[in-house]
Amino acid sequence: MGRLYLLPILGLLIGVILGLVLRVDIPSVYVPYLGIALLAALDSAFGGLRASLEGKFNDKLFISGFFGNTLMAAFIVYIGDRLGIPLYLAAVVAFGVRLFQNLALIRRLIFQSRGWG
Amino acid sequence: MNEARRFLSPILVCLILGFLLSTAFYAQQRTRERVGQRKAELIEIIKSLEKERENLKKETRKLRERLRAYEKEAAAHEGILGSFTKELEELKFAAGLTAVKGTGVEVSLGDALQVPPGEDPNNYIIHDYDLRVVVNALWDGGAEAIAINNQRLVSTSAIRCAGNTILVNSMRLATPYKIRAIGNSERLYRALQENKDASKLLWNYAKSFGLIAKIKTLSHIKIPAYSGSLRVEHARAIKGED
Repeated sequence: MGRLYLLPILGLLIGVILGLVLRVDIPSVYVPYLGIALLAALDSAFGGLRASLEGKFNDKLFISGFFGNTLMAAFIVYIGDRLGIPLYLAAVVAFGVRLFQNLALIRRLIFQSRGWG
Repeated sequence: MNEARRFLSPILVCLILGFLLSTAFYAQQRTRERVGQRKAELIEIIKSLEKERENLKKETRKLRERLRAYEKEAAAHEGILGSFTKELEELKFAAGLTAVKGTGVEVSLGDALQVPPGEDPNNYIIHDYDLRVVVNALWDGGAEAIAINNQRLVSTSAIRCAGNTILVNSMRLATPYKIRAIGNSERLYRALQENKDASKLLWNYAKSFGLIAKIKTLSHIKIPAYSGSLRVEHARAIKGED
């Protein structure tokens, strides 16, 4: 029972394999959208990991954040594209900064929980 | 069971995340492959076309030589044809279809060796219009024949830009460019000095941007004959008018 936390990692692996096997053909026009959506998804995933380490994990918040951020990011890229403003840069910067912050916090939490420092 | 259900949403999210990851990876790889392939194809096409042109040029040269031999032979036999042939030779000489030699000048133009960071690189390279300025100044100074990197300029020649190379007679030329002109050396040199654009390029810009610009007066220059096509397809002469 103690190794249940490996299940999400297993899910990740299955997802990767699924993507490699299915080889979904995305038109090159939509590749930037995919990239930003991916970044948002990564951000949400790390956010969720951090929340669970802090003991504040909320199922509904996590799911809604994941899908909401991902869709919102793709939408921002779309709007920027239409207006001729490189708004995707804002998404990249915002998600990038948050990703690093979350990673730093996760590192700190793991250190604390193990009593390493 | 309750324990396992807590992990349901992370599992789902991780699954989607993994799927997005590999899909993005695959899409990116495919785009890169496609671009590389297209580039390679285009390079192949250009190479084969250039080869074809080389062959055609060789053939043109051969055919012109044969034509000349026929003309000579005919001239030796008949008087009236002889005078025609002489006239033909003169016209060919004027049209740039024969190699010529004489006194003249050579203008060397080349890109600057380096572009200082933050500067517009366009200022540091030789453009098609730079060559045109010099060539026009030389014609103005009474040049009788001009060649850029041994490409003879004739009435149909064009000097134009194509990407990062300059096309003269549809041949790609690269820096440094040697513009040779036959004519009165002094007059040619003076024409370069007196032409506003040419003097600005050769003396002012060259100095401030580090472009290569050298002018030599020469007593023996050889300029090759034009070797490209002269065919006119759509235009037709009007009879009885000047």
